[in-house]
Amino acid sequence: MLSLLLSHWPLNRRLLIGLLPILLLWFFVALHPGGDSEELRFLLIALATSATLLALAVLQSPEAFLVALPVRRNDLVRATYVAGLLAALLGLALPLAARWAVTGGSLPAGVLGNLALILVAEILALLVFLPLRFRLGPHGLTVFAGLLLAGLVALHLGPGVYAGIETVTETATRALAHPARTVPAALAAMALLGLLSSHLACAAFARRSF
Amino acid sequence: MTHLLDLRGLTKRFPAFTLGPLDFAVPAGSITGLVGANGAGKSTLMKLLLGLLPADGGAVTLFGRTYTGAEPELKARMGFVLDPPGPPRHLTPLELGTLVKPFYPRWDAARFRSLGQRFELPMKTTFQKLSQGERMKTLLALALSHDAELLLLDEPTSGLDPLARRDVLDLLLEVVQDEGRAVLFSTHIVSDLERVTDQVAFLKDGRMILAGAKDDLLDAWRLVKGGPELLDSPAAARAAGGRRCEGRVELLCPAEDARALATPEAVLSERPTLEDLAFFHGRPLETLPC
Repeated sequence: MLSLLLSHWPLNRRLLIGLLPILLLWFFVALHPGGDSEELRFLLIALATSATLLALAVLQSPEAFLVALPVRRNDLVRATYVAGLLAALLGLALPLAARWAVTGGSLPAGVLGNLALILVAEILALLVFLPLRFRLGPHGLTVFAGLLLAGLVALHLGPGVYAGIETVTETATRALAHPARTVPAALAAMALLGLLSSHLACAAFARRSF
Repeated sequence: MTHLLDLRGLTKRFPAFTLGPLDFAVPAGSITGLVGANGAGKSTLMKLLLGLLPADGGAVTLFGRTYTGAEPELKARMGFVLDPPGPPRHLTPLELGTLVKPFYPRWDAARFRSLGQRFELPMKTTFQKLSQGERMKTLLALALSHDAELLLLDEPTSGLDPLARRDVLDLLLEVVQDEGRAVLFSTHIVSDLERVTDQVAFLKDGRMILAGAKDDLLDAWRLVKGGPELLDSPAAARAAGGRRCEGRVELLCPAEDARALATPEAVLSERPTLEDLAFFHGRPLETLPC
């Protein structure tokens, strides 16, 4: 497992270095006053950084080559889940740390809750995407994009995209009013979904031919 | 004799092609060549051995054990050259070394560097920018840098110039100096096999048509050359293959039949080369070009 997590560095090092100037530019823009609210700017940069690192962690994997190495297929699948989660967390922690360093600790109100929502959304996306990827290979991304699109269309034809997001945000805000009850329940639900998703991904990957 | 690799009835079925059932063993201290035309099933067999494809029947035993529950441990004792699926194209040989190092407990970075120098590899050029020969050498360097006991090499000499090919073959001979090691390599360059192999297996349309110790195989067959009257002999009907060309006939016959055929004058009977075996075996008389 550790070998697989370590393999991300040589695999992604060059891309990460290539992306660094862009990330730094985003940071610079987000940390300075502009037209948008301070909170929105900060959330946008956090989302962009986190999604970028998450994509690097779960997309850049030469599966066939790795399967030929001394590694269990199940470990390869589980390592991708862990790497995805760590990348998403790192992507949120970096702008948070930058903001912390620039402002000496002050954060816009409500930012932490919204960061948690971003993280939950990313994890949910990961839990849907990875079984598809491990079953279908590169085509998994296409199917995932299709599902996302279908979801957006359904939202658009129903309550509307913005209203949908607002409903989710309000529900989350209400739930977070009683964190002692809702946070453990949410964590348990996520863990259950994670187990189900990784089980599906392992089963699918065990049958893949290269 | 210890077998590092043992196949028993190994079978893989595709909609338009079936490989096997294959029964075959690679003894320690040997180099075994796998010969076959494109599409014969060589790469499919290599992928089955590396667990990249699930088998539909039969068993693969490596170092006396099956993959069940021991895949990483067994694979750590094996080196491979297989392209495709090759390594990530955006990495340099140096980075590929860094990538695979954590997976092999016996990874030897100094050996990897020294092989890079021996093969004159541009260690900081990405894999996609390397020539075909350099790619093969990179994969070989990776396969040879973790003290592997069994090397599975799919067309390792493809794309190499004659000098580099000879160097690679010499390297394989060095590997089996240690009698606990073995090499299985596939090729369609039969002259490579003549130089280094102890055992040869011929694959045709997914079936193993001939397999055994190289010298035994060559001793078991004769290439008989003569006029059309050769075809009148009952022994000619038992020929494994041959061709008729401008009034001359060449037949690949079992050695005992060759003695019966070689009675008339102007008939030549000679020990075939591996290339003759690969070329003639299983080819009916009229199907081969002159």
